[in-house]
Amino acid sequence: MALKSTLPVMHDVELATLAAGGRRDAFGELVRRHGSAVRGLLRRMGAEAATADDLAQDAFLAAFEQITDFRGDGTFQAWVKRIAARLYVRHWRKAAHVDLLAETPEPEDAPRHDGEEGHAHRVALRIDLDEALRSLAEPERLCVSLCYGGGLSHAEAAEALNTPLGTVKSHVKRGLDKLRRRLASPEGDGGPNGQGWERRVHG
Amino acid sequence: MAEFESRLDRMFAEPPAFEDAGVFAGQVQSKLNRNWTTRRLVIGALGGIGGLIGVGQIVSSGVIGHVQSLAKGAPSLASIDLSHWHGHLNVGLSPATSGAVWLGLAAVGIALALALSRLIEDL
Repeated sequence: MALKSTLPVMHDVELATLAAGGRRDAFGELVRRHGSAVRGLLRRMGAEAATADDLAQDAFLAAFEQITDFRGDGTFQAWVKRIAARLYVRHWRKAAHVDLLAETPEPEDAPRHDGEEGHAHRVALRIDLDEALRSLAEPERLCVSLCYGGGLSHAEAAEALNTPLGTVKSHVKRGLDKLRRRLASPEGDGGPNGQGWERRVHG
Repeated sequence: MAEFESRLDRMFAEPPAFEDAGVFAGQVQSKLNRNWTTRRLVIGALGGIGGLIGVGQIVSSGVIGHVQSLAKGAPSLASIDLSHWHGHLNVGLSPATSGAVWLGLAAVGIALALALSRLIEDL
């Protein structure tokens, strides 16, 4: 029987196995490790802070209920993120935003209110992913976050959103194009591993 | 394109730092504990109710009196000739006294006490 003091050094799969046997403290360790990732994903998908935290809690509670389904094929974090992403989609759909997903003509880029000089300044300040995502239209942000943050395939995202696959692909492509422009740095690399990107997220 | 997508994957994989990460984990743990306790209470309560109904059924059916009357008429285990156990098997396996019933009830009581102590521990 694993002691509580050994939980922090255990692998996620071992913790999940203990949790499947009813060890809530083992699952608590998983929440400590991956809570921020799930909360961050939900905020990146567009949820308000309080809603994101509520949904993240629901996602972890659902994960505990379904913990025996986690086989360790992928990472625990990816697994629980998928649960959270689906929960957010359900929440989003209940909020009657579905019509927003309808195909719309390619909009012009949002006007730059501060000109090229301001743009260069923003780049110099290293606009991070969170800020870049906020510049996307809501459906684009949702689709990109679902596929890249939530780990859903385009088809899975389309199914979750109950929208045509082509529409999802279109939103993802548009979103990626905008993000690429937004995240481009003058040197063209912007930090090879996303390192150095400032994170200013507060609870 | 693929390079940018890989970079995006990495950026998404990098979790933001939350100042209240510990509070969040504590809230989830509390909800887990609360759900668990509620579930056990419900299961325990249902089991207890079921047990009481079962005991009530046994008592109301007059089985105790029936067993007592059987015990009076049956030979004691000590008087059974074991060399003829084939012929007396049914008698040998039947309760010799009503004590067996009370023993069973005591076992139920102990089980309920154990369940209660676990519930109190959870609370």
